[in-house]
Amino acid sequence: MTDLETKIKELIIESLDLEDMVADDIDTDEALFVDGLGLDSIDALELGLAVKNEFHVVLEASSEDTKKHFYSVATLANFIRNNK
Amino acid sequence: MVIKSKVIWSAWAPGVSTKQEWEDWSHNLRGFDKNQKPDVSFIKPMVRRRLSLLAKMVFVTSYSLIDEDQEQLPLVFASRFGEMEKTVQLLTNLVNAEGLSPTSFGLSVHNSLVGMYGMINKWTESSTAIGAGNRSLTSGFIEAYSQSKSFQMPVLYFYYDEPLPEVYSRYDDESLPICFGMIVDAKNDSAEQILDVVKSEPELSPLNLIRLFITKDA
Repeated sequence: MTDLETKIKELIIESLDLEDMVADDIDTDEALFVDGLGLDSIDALELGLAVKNEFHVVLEASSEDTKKHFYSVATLANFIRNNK
Repeated sequence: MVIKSKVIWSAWAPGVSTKQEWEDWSHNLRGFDKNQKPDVSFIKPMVRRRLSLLAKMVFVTSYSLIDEDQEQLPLVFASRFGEMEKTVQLLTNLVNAEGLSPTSFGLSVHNSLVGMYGMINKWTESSTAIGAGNRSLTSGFIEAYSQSKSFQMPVLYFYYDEPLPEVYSRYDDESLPICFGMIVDAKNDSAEQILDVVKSEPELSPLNLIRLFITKDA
């Protein structure tokens, strides 16, 4: 696991108030929304804001690509690496 | 004035929440303990994480007030200040030109808690959120009573408040977090009796309302 992926997991836990979790509980390749971690649409907005503030990347709210970038920690890390 | 007939109520304040504890409090045998927090471990963690102190107070009060198989009732929620903690945080973010948390924004509006209550309990009955300054408790009761009368069914009523954030403290005379819940049924004599009380004392505090019920129980 790279530093960036760990950082993203910590950001997810902190910004979404996942009180009882630690970074290792989140699978890097597993789906974040609905199945997998079970986050919902409010979490998507909240996480978008947190990623924007932390990594200074620009996100298109309604694009299909954004959905793909937010699929898992791994896809999100890729997106951040390519857009920094 | 005393409420003579049976009232179905429950209330949570830090350190005083069961009927016995309220009874002891009314006889000066028990005080509030500001370190106590409402225990909502009966709610799933993914849902629980979004509950503010006000929300947690409502859910613990509800838990002791109604059974799990309670049929759906219309909901009336009243609060003087509502989620002012969240509002102050959002205003601070605005002043500092920071992005606003969508979750906080959604949960800061006055009817967010009654909506969340409906979602968590999967209730689809009507919901109403009242705010009326220091008459919120009595105005909420009048609303619940009126709905019960016109729908010809009981109404589930909650009143909740907490002290204001530091920056607004000079407008504050609420000394502690408190939630009061009751089933208001216009068909019961007790509802008429409470209506008389709130009409003659529109600024009645939740603690003084609770005293009326305990005097009756004793």
